Amino acid sequence: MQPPDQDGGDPPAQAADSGFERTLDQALDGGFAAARELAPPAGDSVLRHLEHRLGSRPAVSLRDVDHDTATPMLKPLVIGDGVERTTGKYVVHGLLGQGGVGAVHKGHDTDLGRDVAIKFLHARYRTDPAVLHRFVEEAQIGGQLQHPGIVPVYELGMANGRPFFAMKLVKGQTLAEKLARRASPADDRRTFLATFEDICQTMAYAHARGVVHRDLKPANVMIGSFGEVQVVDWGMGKVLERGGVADEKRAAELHSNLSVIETLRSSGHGTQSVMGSVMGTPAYMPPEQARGDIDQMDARSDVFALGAILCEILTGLPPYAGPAQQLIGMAAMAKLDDARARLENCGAERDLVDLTLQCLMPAPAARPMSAEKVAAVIHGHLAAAEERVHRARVEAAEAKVRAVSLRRAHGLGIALATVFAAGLAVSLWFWREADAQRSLAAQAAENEKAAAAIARAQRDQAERIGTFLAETLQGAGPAVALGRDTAMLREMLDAAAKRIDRGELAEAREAELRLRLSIGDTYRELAAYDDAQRVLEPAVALARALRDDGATARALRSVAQLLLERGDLAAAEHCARESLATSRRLHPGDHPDVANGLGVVASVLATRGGLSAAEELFREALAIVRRVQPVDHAAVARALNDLGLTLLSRGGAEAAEALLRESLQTWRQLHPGDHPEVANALSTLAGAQMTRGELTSAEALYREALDMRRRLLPADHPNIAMGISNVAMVLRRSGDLAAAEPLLREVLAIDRRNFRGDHMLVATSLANLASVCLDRGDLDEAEPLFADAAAMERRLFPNDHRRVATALHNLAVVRQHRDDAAGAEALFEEAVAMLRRLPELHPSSLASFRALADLLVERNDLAGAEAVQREALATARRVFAADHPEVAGGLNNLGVAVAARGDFEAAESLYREAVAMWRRLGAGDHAEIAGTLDNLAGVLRRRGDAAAAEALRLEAAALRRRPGAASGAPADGSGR
Amino acid sequence: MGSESHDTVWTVLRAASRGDASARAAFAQGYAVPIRSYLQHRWRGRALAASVDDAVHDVFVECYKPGGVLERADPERGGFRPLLYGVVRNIARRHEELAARSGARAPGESVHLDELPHQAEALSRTFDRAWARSLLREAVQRHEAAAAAGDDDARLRLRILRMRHEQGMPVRTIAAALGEADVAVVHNAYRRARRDFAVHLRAVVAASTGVQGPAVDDECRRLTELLQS
Repeated sequence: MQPPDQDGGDPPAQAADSGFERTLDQALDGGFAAARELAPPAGDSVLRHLEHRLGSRPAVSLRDVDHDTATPMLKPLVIGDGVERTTGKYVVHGLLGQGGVGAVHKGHDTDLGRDVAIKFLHARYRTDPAVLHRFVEEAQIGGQLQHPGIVPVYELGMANGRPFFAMKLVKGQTLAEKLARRASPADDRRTFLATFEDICQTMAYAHARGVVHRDLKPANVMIGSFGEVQVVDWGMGKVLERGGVADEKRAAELHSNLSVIETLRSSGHGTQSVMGSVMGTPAYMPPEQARGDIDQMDARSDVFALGAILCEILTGLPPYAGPAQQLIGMAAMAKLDDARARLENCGAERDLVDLTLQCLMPAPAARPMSAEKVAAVIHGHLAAAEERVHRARVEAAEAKVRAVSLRRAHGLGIALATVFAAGLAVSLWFWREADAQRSLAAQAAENEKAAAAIARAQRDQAERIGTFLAETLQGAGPAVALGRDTAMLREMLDAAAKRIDRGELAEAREAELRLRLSIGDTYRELAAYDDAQRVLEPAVALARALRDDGATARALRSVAQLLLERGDLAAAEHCARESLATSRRLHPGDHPDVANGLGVVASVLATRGGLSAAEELFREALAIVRRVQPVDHAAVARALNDLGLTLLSRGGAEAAEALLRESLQTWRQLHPGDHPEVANALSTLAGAQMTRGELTSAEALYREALDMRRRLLPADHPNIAMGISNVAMVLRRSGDLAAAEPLLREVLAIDRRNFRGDHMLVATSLANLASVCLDRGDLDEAEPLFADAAAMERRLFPNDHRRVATALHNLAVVRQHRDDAAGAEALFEEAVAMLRRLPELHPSSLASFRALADLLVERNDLAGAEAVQREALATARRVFAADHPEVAGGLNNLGVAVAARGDFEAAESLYREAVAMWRRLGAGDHAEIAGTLDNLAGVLRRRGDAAAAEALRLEAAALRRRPGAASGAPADGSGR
Repeated sequence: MGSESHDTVWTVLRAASRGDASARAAFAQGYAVPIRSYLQHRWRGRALAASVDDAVHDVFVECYKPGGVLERADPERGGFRPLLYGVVRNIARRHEELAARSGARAPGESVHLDELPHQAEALSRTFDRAWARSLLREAVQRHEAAAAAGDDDARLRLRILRMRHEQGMPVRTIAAALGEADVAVVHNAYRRARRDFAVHLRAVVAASTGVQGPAVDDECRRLTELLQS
């Protein structure tokens, strides 16, 4: 500090500055006061600091998930016990229990917002260095041992001169309490052994860190509500390397006259920890400890205590049992005869008894070296036990089969749907799951809720078995599918189904359910419908009995698909809707099962003719799978296919083709080489192109699909027949009847071999062959084929059905060709009447309306013909998109009817609308365009516009000369 | 506010209104306390006390938004303090109206406290006091920073200042505490310390008001008068 005369001229305060000086005084006072407001308060609480700075403090409070009712009991905080209600950041709530050197209270950490246990050193020991030392060591041991099985210590501090440490508040029950609640020592043995293994692992860690507990007993093992095991009360812990407590013997001598202090966690049979000449709990005490050879104690002393705990688990009592005052003597003399006798008679496995006896050897050197050794033996015992259980299950469920690959996709039951089949491989490789079962069991045994965990694991296991089987049944790839025999597959399925029916899985109902579903679906895909029904129907009942909504929904879905393919559409719809409702209840939001359920309902509706409702459901299903699945997932590809086919049936060929292309692309990404799904997608896309009249590209795609199927499937596979049929139909559309007919004969033969008896596919094959015969003018061959098809359809669908109406139409066409107009008209009338009774008209049914109208025109019933044509046009507008060849055709046909009664103006309007629609459709070389152009030309000529008429006539002629232009043969309404 | 380059508050305000992150941070740091103090006082004992943080945030949002008070602030029209006070008060009223509509108003309480003359005045004084304290606190903090960066004498002078004005010790007692037998030496040091502080005080006031020269002392006086209100 500089003296004043060297201060550099510090003039005294001037009067002129007195005002500012007063200001400065006030400013200084105010400034320092304001600065002090923001200074951190004494006591260093970060939250108080924040509150002071910001005016608020964070307050996170998590939900307490511990629902265990065995929360620590609290005794009211006794006034005068010396513990303050607030200790720094802790608020002390009440006394949990008293120990030899301290009392444990429940507290709350106000900074972190959590409950803690706070152990305060008894006031009387505040000045006792040895006890103080041990207390601090206990805290330090707890603070440094970091293991899930050891209660962590959070803080060591002082409160009004009393040392304390805060630690995790352990909620749960002691092992002693749980053991005492057993009715018999054999109860829940595996659970307790798993707990014992955890204790051993915890002690192994502590021993590895050089710490022994020296007071291990069931009362010092806490088991939380999640089965977590924690070893508590390390108050007698000893750090081996450092020699432990500095002056234990002196401490023991000082307190030799202290009475036994009861702990809250102690219970019965002399398990109190003694703070006296001997430290520990006599009932579990190794002889060296009982004799007071404290310095001789090491990890093997804890091993003895572990043996004592194991003895109590197996026999219900610790090694030393009897009057409390005798226990210390028994322990000192290692009087273990009673314990040995109990162990020999407890009924436990030999290895457990041997382990216990070894741990209880009086000589420390004869015991296992450490808790780690004990843990290893227990672990091995538990693992071996689980292996034995699992092997018994495996033998009950095992079936040795050879792999066969045959896969088949589902027919959707709409006009252009194809029946898919693929390679199937069946292996019941339960032994593959042995490891999984073993690990599951070991895992479950560690958990207090072992029964529930095992049950869950078993359900998961059964799910995996079923999934594995289903996946192998679906075929892993073309290599699996090559050259396999469905007969062998049937053999394997039959053998598996027989074993299930014999009740070999009665002990594993969930596995039985999963297997029934997989086997039943495989039967269905092989068209073995009776066998499928026999296997699947009990699956529904079983799923309901197991209260497994997911499996119930799946079983109902499988049954619905079965009924759909059998043609029992009403029952199929009922099952499908119930399945969907179950899935929606189980999964209120987006879920693959909901999408699957929607798909099955939609398939049924589509088959029943409800295309608009089916489209709606398929759209919803596609939206769901797009949301829940990756973009290149098989479910997305299938949903695209389903919706695409439906749109195709409803006339939205362009939109359908876009979806079907995307589906094909997805399948190609999933399966880069030959694969049944790729073949199916090729075929479906080809159908869309054929609908649009693109016959050349459609034929190429159909042939590519057929070639792929021939590489993948057996020669007689229904999918091969499907592929051949598709090629044949496009050839027929192209006019190459000579090439189409032999293919269709081959298809019929294959279908008859695969489906002995009535089947939709056989009826379709009959009709397709008949159509080609009719095309080449062979009525004698065509008529009986159409008649057989119609009779089969009537047997398959006794009530009104689109397929029956189509068969009637076909017969009527034959009658027409035989010039039996009356007979034809009657059959057309019957077909149209049936179609009118159906809830929704199928697009292919419009041909029947047109054919009836043509007949009415021929017998000069022009009004009747016009009425039918109007009805057909209105129906086409309802069924199809705004611009559609069927609508354009309907406009044309109505124009013809209107022109026939002389209303050429109305006819011209209809023809012009039709032509404009054809041009907008850009449908290629469609013969009907040429026909409508001709019709319009005719009307224009009648009205005197010859030039325009001539131009249209020339255009029509040019269209007809183009290669591939359709001949305009009548539609037969059939299709696969 | 508070920048070492002694930009005026208007400079900082302009930068903050243009989105300058450091200017906004300085603005928030400088004015958060008086804003919060005012709101806490206004809503003491009411359910709205839980909304103080939100309201403080709303004040800053109001200041920063395009066309907001920062852009409209004109040093020619007066100091920034009344401008900010107007914003804070309006934000407070907005929260009170919302609370009233949602039924959160406690029975018997008025929504617009400003409409009660004495209440409005009291609230204004709360804001003013908080404002003044924040400026003075900043002056002290600047002084502390300068002393920490200076020599031992500078730090000693600050210590003397603190002992005198924070702990209220007479100079003689300070001298004894420092072991200085010559009280006059301590007096001189104390006077130099006051001059040191005056420099920082004038700088803070000039930056907050934009005034220069002799008018700064008048502003300093007005600032300390706010403490007395």
